[in-house]
Amino acid sequence: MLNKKIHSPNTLTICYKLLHDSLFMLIIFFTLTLITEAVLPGTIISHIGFSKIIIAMLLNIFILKILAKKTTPNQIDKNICPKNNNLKKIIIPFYALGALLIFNSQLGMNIFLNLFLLLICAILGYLSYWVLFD
Amino acid sequence: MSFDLTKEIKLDEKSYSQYRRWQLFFYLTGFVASLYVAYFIFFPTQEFNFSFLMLTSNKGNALNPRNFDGTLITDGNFSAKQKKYFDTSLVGSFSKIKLSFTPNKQSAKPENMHIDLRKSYRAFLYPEGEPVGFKNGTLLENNHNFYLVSDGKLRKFSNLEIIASLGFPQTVFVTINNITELNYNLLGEEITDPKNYPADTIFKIANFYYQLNSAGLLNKFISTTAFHSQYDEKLAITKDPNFLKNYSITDNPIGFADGTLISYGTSVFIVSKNKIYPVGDPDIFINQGYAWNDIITVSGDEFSLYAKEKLFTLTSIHPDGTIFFTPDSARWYQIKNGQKHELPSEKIANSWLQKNPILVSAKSLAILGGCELQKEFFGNYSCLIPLNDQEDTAGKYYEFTFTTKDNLKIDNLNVLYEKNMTIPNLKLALRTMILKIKARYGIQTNSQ
Repeated sequence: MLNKKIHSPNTLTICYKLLHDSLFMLIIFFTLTLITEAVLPGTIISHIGFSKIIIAMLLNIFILKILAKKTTPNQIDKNICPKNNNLKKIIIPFYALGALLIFNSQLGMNIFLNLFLLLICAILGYLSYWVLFD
Repeated sequence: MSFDLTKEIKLDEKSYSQYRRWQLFFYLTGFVASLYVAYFIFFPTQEFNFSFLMLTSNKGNALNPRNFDGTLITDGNFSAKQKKYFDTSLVGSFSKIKLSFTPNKQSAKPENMHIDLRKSYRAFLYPEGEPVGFKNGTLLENNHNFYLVSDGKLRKFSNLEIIASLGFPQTVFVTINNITELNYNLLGEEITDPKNYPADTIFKIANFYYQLNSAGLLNKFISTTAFHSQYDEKLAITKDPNFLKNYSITDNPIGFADGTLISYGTSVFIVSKNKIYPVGDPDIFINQGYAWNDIITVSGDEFSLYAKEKLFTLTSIHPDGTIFFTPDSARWYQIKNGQKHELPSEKIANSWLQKNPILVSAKSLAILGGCELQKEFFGNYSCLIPLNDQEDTAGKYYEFTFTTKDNLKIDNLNVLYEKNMTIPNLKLALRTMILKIKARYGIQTNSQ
């Protein structure tokens, strides 16, 4: 009975949706950990290692992948698609955060060298994206 | 406007409300978990464990349970009526320490066993040895009598003519008003020879410094900075290079004074005898009581004089030559051969000191707190030692001592440092964090 309930399409879909929420929370936690560690090294990783957070995220993604295959197609509303605009709204702050983290990691350096390296990173990032996705 | 990351996945009404309930539960759990993370960041705990059943698990986290003579106890057998020790070293202020003993089932029970705590620098808790007198080479004057400390002994100049003919300027003799200060160096032979210099006389020849040894040979100081780490400039008698024809120079140059801090490249080292101890990191440097402005930058030649020892960490003992000063009792102590020796006066201390001593409270020699073990669930015996969490005193070494009534066989020993969840502690944690951030980004703080 319980086995039947667990394997029912609705239960799996609820799990699938919940795993998105848990992944979202993990990403938020990981981002905050990155910022905290950049400002005050050792504050969080002395308690929870980065590896544990990353393993939790990978595990979450892995289970998501499995459940995605089991989600019945009739449960997906094709009229509602994630908008690219939303993605852009998220990506820009993430780029800004990444730039700040890179700048912060090279704080001991000459400021112009630091900015130059940041520019190199941005160009490399853009070229990699261009080669891989365009 | 509901928060749903997967709007494209449809659910029937019943399942959707079920999902919303679970979603709420997930986010509430996440919120509680984040509060928990914040709790152990602001109110950290630190645990030390020593298992006598599985010794390999104790690496890097040892409590060093030991006998009075320092021999490590590894079998868990604590013999009766003998003083035993264990210790921890850690940074931070804590509200209490929980001590837990797990006795073996066949062992007597440690109920009501009293444990005392002292907190200081490890070397400062060394047993006290004989007081030390003035440093070799020091020139002293008392009641118109003039002395040189030579080979550890106080040697009197038989008359003023000898002082003049040897070239010691009378102005450099340190006046000693209290004759008892001279009692800490044994009295040696009088200096009567106006031509030959006594051992430990210091010379300056062509901008190089030399010290005469007891074999009548000259030891050259490796550099001017090395000389100044040991003696004041005015103690050296200036001679012309022809003076060197009368003496042989040994192959063993004199380096920096014991306890001197030197930097080479990006590392800092503590000098002791012919060894140097690399300091682990800036936090260890500060928490072991050193001052940044005492660091002397050295050249490759000066650096190559020393053999590198293992890393100086928070658990390391200050090496020989380290001088401690207790501002509350105005006393100086020098560390040597596993003992601390008092330098009985400021003038004696100054003859050894060319840098800041390490400050420590004399009160740290006394018992800071204690507790008696009481039975807990699961056969453990534990007790709490309260600490003042608003005061982080110098010295991060916690030494626990106890004497058992009966022979004990202990399986496990555990020490847990905890911080109470109070507003002053939260403020202190936030203040410490802000100071650390400021230090990291080079923001200067106005001292009050």
